[in-house]
Amino acid sequence: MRTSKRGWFIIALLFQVCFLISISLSNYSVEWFGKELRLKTVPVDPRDLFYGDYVVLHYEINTIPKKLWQEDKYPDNGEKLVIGLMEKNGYYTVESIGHVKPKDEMEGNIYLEGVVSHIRPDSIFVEYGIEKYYVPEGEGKELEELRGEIDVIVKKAQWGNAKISRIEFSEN
Amino acid sequence: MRKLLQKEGIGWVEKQIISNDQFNQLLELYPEQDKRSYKIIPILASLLIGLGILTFIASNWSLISNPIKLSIIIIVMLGFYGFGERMVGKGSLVMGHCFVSLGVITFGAGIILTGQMFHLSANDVTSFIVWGLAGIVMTYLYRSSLLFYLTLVILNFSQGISMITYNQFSFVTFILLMIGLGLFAFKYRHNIVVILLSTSVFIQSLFLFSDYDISWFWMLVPVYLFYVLADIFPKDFFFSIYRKLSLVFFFIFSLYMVLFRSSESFSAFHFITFLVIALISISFKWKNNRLFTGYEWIIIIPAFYLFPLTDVIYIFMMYFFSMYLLWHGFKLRNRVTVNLGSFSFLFSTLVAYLNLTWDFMPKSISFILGGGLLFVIYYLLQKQKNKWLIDGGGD
Repeated sequence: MRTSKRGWFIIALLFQVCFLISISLSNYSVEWFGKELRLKTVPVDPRDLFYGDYVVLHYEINTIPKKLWQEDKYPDNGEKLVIGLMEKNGYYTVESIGHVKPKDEMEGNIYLEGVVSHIRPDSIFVEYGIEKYYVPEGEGKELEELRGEIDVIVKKAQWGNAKISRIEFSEN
Repeated sequence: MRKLLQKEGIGWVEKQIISNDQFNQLLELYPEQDKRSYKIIPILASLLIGLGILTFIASNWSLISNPIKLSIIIIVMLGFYGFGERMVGKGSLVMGHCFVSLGVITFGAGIILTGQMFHLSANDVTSFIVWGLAGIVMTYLYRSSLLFYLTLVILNFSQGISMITYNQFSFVTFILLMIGLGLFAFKYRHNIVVILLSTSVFIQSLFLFSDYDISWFWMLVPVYLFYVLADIFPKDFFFSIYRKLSLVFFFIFSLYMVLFRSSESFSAFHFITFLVIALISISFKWKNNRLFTGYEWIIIIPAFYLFPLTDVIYIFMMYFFSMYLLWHGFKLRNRVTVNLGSFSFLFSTLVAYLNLTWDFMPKSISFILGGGLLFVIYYLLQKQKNKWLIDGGGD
């Protein structure tokens, strides 16, 4: 009885350790094998930008004009969508938005998965899971002053979601 | 019991009812239970350490590289688990369970921290579900109520975050709560465990209905069903809690209806559902010889679409329910129920008075009159109650 309990205990521990390692590994693999794309940030309401230990980032690609939406009915909040991006002058911008993921990602053309956050009068606000950037305590304020002047370098793996790789100052 | 025995026993020995040896033997039957109060100290200690871990994570440790951070988390987590397991092996259950709990807390903190390392922002509560799952496994392995409470907090937190941040009901969380922790509570039937689990299931199932795009009053259906469970299994402690929670819910619901009167258009489908459930309930009450609790259905009737002037109707329903409680408590000689009845009676009066006189009386006079009326009714009720409780010895 005691030995079988110990067996389960060890399995439970292994499961937890593996879970933590797998989160890290999946992110490292995106970093190693992912495709790099540069995104332009837009200013956020300064009161909302800095949340203690992380900075809220908003990108141009968060706000998607409604005219790009092809289907009849607008998506619901929380609905998962596929957003096509195209590189223009070094930055990636939204090219298409829809439910279906195209079969192949062409050169310079990339697809991100996003979730509808809310619908605005003229645009659809989509979140990609890359809107938080954790910073050491006290450094958030410095970053806040640079809002709108920073670029975010994102890595996107073919099999999964995107992740923030690093933050750079805007080139222009 | 031991204290009483110690006090009385000396007298029994002096009167030579029992010998000194017998007295000691009797005392041994009731070991000291004071140990229980010391249990709180290691629990508090582990709570403090747990908080320490969390604040440590929130604070600045950015100088360490990611793989080392991860190793630290894993080593600390395994350390807590291993130490806890060793303490349990040595027979020190409370301390052991505390350290295992710390292991579970560290696992959750580790998930959050790993997310921060890679700037992840989640779209749902998967991480909380995995955390809760680890808690459930440990709860079963150690059969510990402390681990149960911790897991319950994690799962309720998970549902709360899912509802507030992601605007969706987390079915997996709900199922883990119902089945994972439910089976544990069923098996180990510890009062506080059962009460806390029941309350959580009750509240989360209300969330379940609020998530759908249907009229709010369909939210009442799970409450009806919870109520009926107590009729189908009348001897079950578990379900009697659901019945009480349902009644508390409907009392507060009536209060809400009085304060924010809202009439809905009649829904035949809802009303038929209501009738069917009420009939099932009453037939079971009849079968189990508990028909006198059938009056409870008065307060459950969906009056908000049956009658006009819902606020007045609901005030009467509150009064009726209070009187029923008084009568019921008196019949069962249950002082708590009688007190609850008199309290809800006074409360209903206050609500009725404030709500129905608001429009044509200045606030101050209304309060003074309300207070005076409360005193009178309280006096009459007390007098009546004392009389009942004295007379009650007869039959």
